[in-house]
Amino acid sequence: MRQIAISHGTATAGHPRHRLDPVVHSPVRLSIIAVLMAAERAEFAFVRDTVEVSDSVLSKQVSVLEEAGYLKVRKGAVGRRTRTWLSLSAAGRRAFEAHLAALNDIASSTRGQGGAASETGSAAGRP
Amino acid sequence: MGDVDAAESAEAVVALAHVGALGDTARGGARWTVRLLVAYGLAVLIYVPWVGVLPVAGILVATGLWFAFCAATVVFAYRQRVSPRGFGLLWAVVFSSFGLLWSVASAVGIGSFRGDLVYWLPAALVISMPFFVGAGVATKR
Repeated sequence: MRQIAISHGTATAGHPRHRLDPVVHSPVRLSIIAVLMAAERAEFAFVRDTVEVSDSVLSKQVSVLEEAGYLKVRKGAVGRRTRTWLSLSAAGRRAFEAHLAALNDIASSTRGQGGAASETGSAAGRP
Repeated sequence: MGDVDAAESAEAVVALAHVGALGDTARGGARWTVRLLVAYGLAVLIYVPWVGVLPVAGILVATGLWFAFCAATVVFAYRQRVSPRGFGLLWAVVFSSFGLLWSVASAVGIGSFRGDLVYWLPAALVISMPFFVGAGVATKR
């Protein structure tokens, strides 16, 4: 997945790309949140397997999300095994929903502009 | 500028599709709750008429099996890797409803309809309903 550039300028502040959350926007972090969004909580290994990253990559990204207040980490024991549970905080769910809304707007606004451009093209008599 | 917007739009569409697919995978991992609720519903369909019809020794055996089943489901649930959203609330509502229905049905049935399958079979159907309705709710999530 490529990355849409997040602009922090003010010239085009109305563009939905300015509403993209830089913490959520990283492909791995977006994937982690997408998995956790559908669950109350998920085991670290399940998220790792679903997102298809290594333990170390997942740990690093989980730390970033935890520091941002978007994710909670809990450890528990099942027999002799230690299990790590990940869950989204309320702030994480809100941030993801806002990010998705911005992505939806980006996906749909350009389609709208494309339609308008083609109509303008027709009006100008271009082939 | 139009090309940049078109590229951004295409990337956004890809990202949204990716997010949707990951959400589906997580929901698939949480489907065990549906199977567990259906298993509880079926167990109730067996347990309730058994308790209503059999003598005391049979009731003790049935109750022992019921508690063994409950213990096995607790272990099964604890070993799962994903808990679906709203799992705690759904579980609380389903088991509260079951407890209420079972209390009323057994209070009435043990006093007045001991050994009468005409009472206990419909009672089992009603008492198992919270589990099947809960499974339906969990399926739609």
